[in-house]
Amino acid sequence: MNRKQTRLRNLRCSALKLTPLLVSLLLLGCTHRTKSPTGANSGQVKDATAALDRAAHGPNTIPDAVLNATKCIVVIPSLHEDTATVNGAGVASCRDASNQWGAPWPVTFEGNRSQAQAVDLFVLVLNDTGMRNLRSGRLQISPSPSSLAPLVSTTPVPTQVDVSRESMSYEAVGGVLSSGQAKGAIAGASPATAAAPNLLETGRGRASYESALMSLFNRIVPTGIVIHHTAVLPMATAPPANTGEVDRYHESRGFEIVCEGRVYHVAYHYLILPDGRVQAGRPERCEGAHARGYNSYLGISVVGDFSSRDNPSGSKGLIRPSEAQIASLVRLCRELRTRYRIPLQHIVRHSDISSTQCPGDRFPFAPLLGKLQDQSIAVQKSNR
Amino acid sequence: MRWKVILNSVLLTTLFLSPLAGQKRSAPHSAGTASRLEPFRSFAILDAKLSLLTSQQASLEASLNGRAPESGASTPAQSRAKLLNSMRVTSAEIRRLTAHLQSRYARQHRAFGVKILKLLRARANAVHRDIYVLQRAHTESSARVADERLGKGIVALVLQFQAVSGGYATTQCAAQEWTCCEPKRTKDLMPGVQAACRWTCLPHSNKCTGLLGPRIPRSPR
Repeated sequence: MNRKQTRLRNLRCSALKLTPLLVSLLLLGCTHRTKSPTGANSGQVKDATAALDRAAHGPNTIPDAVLNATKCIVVIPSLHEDTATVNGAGVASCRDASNQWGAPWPVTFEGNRSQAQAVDLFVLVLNDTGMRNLRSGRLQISPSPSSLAPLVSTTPVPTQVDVSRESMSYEAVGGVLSSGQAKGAIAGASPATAAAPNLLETGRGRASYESALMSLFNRIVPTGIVIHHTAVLPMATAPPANTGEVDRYHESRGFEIVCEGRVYHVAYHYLILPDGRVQAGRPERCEGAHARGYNSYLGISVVGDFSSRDNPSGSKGLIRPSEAQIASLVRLCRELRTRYRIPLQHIVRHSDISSTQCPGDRFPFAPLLGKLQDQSIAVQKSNR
Repeated sequence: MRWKVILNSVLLTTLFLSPLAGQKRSAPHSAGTASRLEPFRSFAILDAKLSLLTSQQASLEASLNGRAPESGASTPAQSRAKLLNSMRVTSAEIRRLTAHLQSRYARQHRAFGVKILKLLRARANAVHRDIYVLQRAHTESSARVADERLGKGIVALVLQFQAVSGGYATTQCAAQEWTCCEPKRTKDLMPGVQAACRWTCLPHSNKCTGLLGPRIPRSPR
């Protein structure tokens, strides 16, 4: 055995002796990377992501007005009850003026609940005072018996008065949301006010968490239908011929939404062409961008300009909807009413809820409601 | 010595009378809170009642077409009678709510509020009357005519409800501002409605010429 071989064997032996030490160091490194000084770990973000996903795909949702007013969210997944109190760890994050969600930070909840079941707890912070309290780690939550947190099933269109609160809490069992019953305190200051670092500043975990957040905030359970006309888009001479044209125009207006893993610009859910063909816009379960405060309603736009003031002679397209358009609209509304159990009074013209002429005085709205009323028989039939 | 007697009596008065005072205060306070949320609170109830009425009407249509007998009813006639009774109860509740709203704005001497709610109440009365006529119809043909009339009446009620309540959820007022449904100009009215308004925000309640709504709270509830 020459000197070179001996040296090589010695090196191998040293490496073998060092292996357990290296493995221990590596494990220690991994643990250190996923664990923040406050004791939270990436598992919390993962659990929060799963809780958000469950709630986003559940049968009941939080009304659009509440979600739009939300400044921060606290997610405490799988809150278990001890003897007298409940404790749980989760994450919180806030969004800025440009609607971008900031990095999540670890928080804890301590309080009590009346139910014995394990639940996911969601706290939506609705005003600046609430945000300050959350960020400084001293947000208190308590259910108000007189005004429970609204849900689409109970309060489809909450008013500004309904959402004028510091926070609202919701609970979910298996993704089924209900108004929150928990009472207690959220502790854990945000990185802006304490030395605690954000959880997963970058990486796949954070991307999944943000995607789940967007999924919850951009999804709707439609509670009504808003009827529009397209009129003539600015810089055009005739009404749009398809959803592509509307999509391009709405892109320029910044009506962007990320929903179900895709980017959409077209503000409506459906477009009805002059020959009665129905073109799909954004998916039905994605929040619309067609009527402020009513974007949990489905937006259907009929191609044409039916206002006698704006289009007196028909130079801007159809002056009233064609028979084919009305037939398609009736059929579509009937299907949507059946699918989402939409009551008659939740089918509105854009002008009923906003300061606009849309869909114009020549749009036959009362006859449409009359036809849909008759067709409620179809709703009954399909429900049986 | 004398000051001790005075102090004791003050303490006793505070101890014994304060819970009573608290009770006295709390009752009108809760009523006041509900009142302060008007007409939004009534709109939410009306909305639920209209959902119920239109669904009852759908069942009635099915029954008239001999398709869906009401559960527990042995014959189509019994089923229809049962449904019409339920519809009458619902329409009576709608009438009561609209009357309550109208009298509220009459007390406040708000002419436009009275006018628009009077229209809503008239539509509710018409529906209630049409249900009664349908209940009294003895022949199939008279029932058909009454049913058609009821259908139109419900659409008119829905349109008027939308004209007064539409957009009340869209206001984005600053704290302490008042919500107000300002009358729409005649040329902006859509066919099918005689009066309509648009919900907006105002700094003072006396600036509101239409239907005055709740004031946005300053501090979080």
